[in-house]
Amino acid sequence: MSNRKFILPIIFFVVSVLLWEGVVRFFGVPEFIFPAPSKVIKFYYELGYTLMWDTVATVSETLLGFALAAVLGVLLAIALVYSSFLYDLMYPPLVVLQVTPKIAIAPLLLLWFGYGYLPKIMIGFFISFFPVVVTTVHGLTSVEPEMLDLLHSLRASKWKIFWKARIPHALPYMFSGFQIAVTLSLIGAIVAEFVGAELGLGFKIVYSQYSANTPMLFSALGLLAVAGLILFYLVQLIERLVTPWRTLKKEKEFGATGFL
Amino acid sequence: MAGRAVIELDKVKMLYESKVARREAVLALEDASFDVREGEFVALVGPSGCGKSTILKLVSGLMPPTGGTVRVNGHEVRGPQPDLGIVFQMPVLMEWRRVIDNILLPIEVLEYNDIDYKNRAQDLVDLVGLRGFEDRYPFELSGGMQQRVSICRSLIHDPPGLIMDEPFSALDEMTRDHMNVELQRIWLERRKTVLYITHSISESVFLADRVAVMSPRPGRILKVVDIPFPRPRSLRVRATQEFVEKVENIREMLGLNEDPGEAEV
Repeated sequence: MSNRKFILPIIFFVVSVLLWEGVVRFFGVPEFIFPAPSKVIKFYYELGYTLMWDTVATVSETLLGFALAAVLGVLLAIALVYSSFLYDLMYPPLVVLQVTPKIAIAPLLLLWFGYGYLPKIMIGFFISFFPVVVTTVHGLTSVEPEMLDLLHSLRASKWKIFWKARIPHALPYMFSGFQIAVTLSLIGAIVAEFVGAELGLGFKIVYSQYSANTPMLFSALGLLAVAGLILFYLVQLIERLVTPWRTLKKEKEFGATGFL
Repeated sequence: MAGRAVIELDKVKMLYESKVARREAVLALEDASFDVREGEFVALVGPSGCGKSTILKLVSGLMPPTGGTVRVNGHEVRGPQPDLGIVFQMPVLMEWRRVIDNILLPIEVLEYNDIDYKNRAQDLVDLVGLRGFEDRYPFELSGGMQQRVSICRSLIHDPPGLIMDEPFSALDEMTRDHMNVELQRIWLERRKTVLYITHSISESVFLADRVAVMSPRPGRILKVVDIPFPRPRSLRVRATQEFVEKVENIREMLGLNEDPGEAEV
């Protein structure tokens, strides 16, 4: 991999920030509308610590919601694939759940469970659960028919077919689901915090809006972007470790064109 | 024509009942009888849709025939059975397993541990000319190389016979020719019983000791043609008068030699 892939985005970032600073200063934009990056940096430097526990809260909610969705989503997918009864039973309610914007039930969950972590984790879970189920079902059921014929001819048990063919085949599908899920879980946590919370970056964003503390709002946004990036790349890192053949393949196929 | 039969089809009939209401059932095979004897290379040739691939499912016991009997290695096939190694049209490798582990898959599934199969796998890798590629992933290999891996996998548990379902039809013509010569070499070294399904008449005549010619649906065996050319055969045999005659003979049987004026579109 060339240094270009590393250096170009940094240059882009630095130039954008300088441009932003210049525009804000040149036109004299008021701080509560659009603070210059220097003001945001000043906020981080002086008061950044006040956002520390909010970041911890939001990231924990996101991770817990995501982890629940990943584990339960994969388990449900396995159950759906192996039991046509469960499939017929669960599929219609799952679709109803999917087409309902889960964010809309946030007020209800807060009403039931209060302002603590639980409703945030639940929203994160609900919103990221479906993509995991769908991608995993797809992965488990898309083993080539010839591979199944071969395994059947070798008298492989269902158990062996599951462990030796379906699960490894499904792993890349699962991870594309996880990739979507972790981002959605973060959205879920933030929105639930908007509705009502005592801690969290979403809460701080609403709070800074009320108090017209725009530098704080931007600081919270910055932390959210960083948290989202870290979570996304964490999932990708685990995927690389779990499916090394995919990593090699992608590097071979896309290494030169800019994917990855 | 000596030797016991390893694969035998006796008046086999296969009727696919339609799962969709008001669709007619499809008669794929009707009264199909032929056998493949020990150490013999038999090709099954016919137009597409004549039930060639149905035969693969029947002899490997993946489904029962609606009539007649299928015997492999002297036993009537009553369920899935590993006595025939299978090579499919596509290599059908597990992309997460390295070459050597793909080859060893049947051993793991069958839970064989009486001999050192690692060494066997290495011998097979050498046989098909893949030495040095043991630890590669399938995506690192060309289509022809992947199909060689699949041949190793079909041989690893030393089954009494092989069934190959158009194994080289997805390859380009030059690679296919090369793989045909390679397959002959491998077959001459191992003398496995082979049932080779193809829609290429020329390929069947080049490879086989006998060619079973199948009619369009419902598939019947029209005739079994002996191919007496001495082995090893070089690709040049295809230009000889005798070879061309055999091919023409089979084309005639399949009704493929209409005059241009009456050709159907």
